[in-house]
Amino acid sequence: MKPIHEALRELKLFISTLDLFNLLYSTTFFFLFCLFLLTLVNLHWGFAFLPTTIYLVILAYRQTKNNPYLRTEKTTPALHEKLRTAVDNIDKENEIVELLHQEVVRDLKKVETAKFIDFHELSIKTVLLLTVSFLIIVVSYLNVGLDLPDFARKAQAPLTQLKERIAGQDVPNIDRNVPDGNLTSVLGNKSLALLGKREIILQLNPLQSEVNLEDIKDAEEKDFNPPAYPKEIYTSYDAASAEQQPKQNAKVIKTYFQQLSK
Amino acid sequence: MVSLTEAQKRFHSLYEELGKAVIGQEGVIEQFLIAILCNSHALVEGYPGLAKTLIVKSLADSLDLTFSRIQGTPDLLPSDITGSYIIDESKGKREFKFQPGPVFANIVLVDEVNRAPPKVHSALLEAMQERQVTVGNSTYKLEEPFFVLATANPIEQEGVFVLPEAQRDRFLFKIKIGYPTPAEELEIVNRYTEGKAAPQLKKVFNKESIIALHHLVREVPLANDLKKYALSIVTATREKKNLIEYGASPRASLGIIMAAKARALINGRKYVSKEDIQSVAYPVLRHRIILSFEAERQGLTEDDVIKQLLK
Repeated sequence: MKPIHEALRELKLFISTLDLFNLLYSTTFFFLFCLFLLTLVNLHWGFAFLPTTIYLVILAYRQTKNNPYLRTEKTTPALHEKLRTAVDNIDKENEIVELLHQEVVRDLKKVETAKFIDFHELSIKTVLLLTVSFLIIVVSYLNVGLDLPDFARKAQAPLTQLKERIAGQDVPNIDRNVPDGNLTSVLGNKSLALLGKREIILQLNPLQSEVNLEDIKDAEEKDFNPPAYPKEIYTSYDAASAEQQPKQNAKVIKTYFQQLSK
Repeated sequence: MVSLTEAQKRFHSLYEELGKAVIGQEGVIEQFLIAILCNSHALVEGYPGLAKTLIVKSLADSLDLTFSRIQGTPDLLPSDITGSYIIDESKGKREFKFQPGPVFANIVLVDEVNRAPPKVHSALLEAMQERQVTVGNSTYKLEEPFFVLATANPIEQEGVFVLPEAQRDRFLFKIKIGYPTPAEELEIVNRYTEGKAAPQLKKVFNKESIIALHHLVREVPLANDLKKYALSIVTATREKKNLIEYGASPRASLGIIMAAKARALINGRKYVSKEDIQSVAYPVLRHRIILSFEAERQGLTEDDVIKQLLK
């Protein structure tokens, strides 16, 4: 194996290891962030794996698309355009390519591994990771959580009302004022309310009832003739307005109504 | 065979030798050298008195190559450049003998090529492309290396036969020679008005080494993404319809890659850089594109449009 092959293999391995670390670090942060959101909405923590897996796949795909040699060239100006040329012409054999390979192997020693790590980005990620972890602990300890189904129902109610109004349906006007004083008639007897789901047996005591069950008889037929209403109430005939009209106007009125009916 | 290290040393010496005769014009000298190393030819556009002939003559001296000069005139005939048969009586009997023309040299300077008629263009282009000359029924091979440098005066446009696009495409470069800087011009005046004899230049290369360099240029490696970049520049000339009416041919792609390799070699690099490609894109493309009316209306030159393509 040529020295250039070995040098490039070593470089690639280093960059791949670094990428793997970055990938795991970013994925851990993303998982914790998802977990925090799920804790807030009282959903099962296992749901966090789904977006995390998608994120992991996308990130891994993007990292495979990154050219490790271009990244090395960026960190080491001495290798600018030289490294990729050496890689693209690795199997060619002539004097210039041989000299180029030797030069690249020599310049690869100038590569500073620390330059591949973005310490600023890493610090921000670490701080965020710690913050999210702390928030998860606090939220879990205080049992802070949003009842998502209930919240969804409540959030949907105004929308439903609005839709009904738009559709022209009447919305009942509910009197939400609670009367002062004894609320037994509204809320019921407190002692009964305390029963909860327990069974209650109600029995009527016939001795305490005001209704004498023995006096109840069958329905009988009743004759209303002669009329039962008092003599002061009577009916008389009244002349219709038409009959009081002068006879000479009768024809005119008849014609008027005929025209009107048309 | 010239090794890379040896070639780099000799290029350094060549620049030193040329510097004795030519003041400034480093860019132009580099482009001449690139064209020679690519085994191709160049068109030169520049005003009179800008040392075109001096540069080419000095190059021929330093490279130990034969040099000839042809002046383009409207009555020039193809046989004036290719040579013709003459009656030879030296052996006691009359027989036709081929008398080679000025094209039988390693470096041929065709001054004001646009003054020569199309028949001459045709004969010259056969020599450039096929590296041979046909006179009567015989074909004569030209000696390698063979480099034609054709100049055109941009200010005189009457009574000229402009080279057609297809013929211009045969030239690798169109080199523009500009005026020297005031400091350079002062140095020219001082050097050539003090009665000193013209400097004798050392021979740095020879024919064999130039031919070896032709092979060495091809060995300079190029990264794949830079190769694609070079091709994208050429294809862009065909797509930028608002400014370019006719784009460059695939010969331009070959020209850019080869010229970039030669430039890398001259500059002592073992690889082609993006800068090499951008630098050679101007002389390779400027005579291969035809600007649209819109570009002319905007007052853009070929170089302005190429600059836009390189962005």
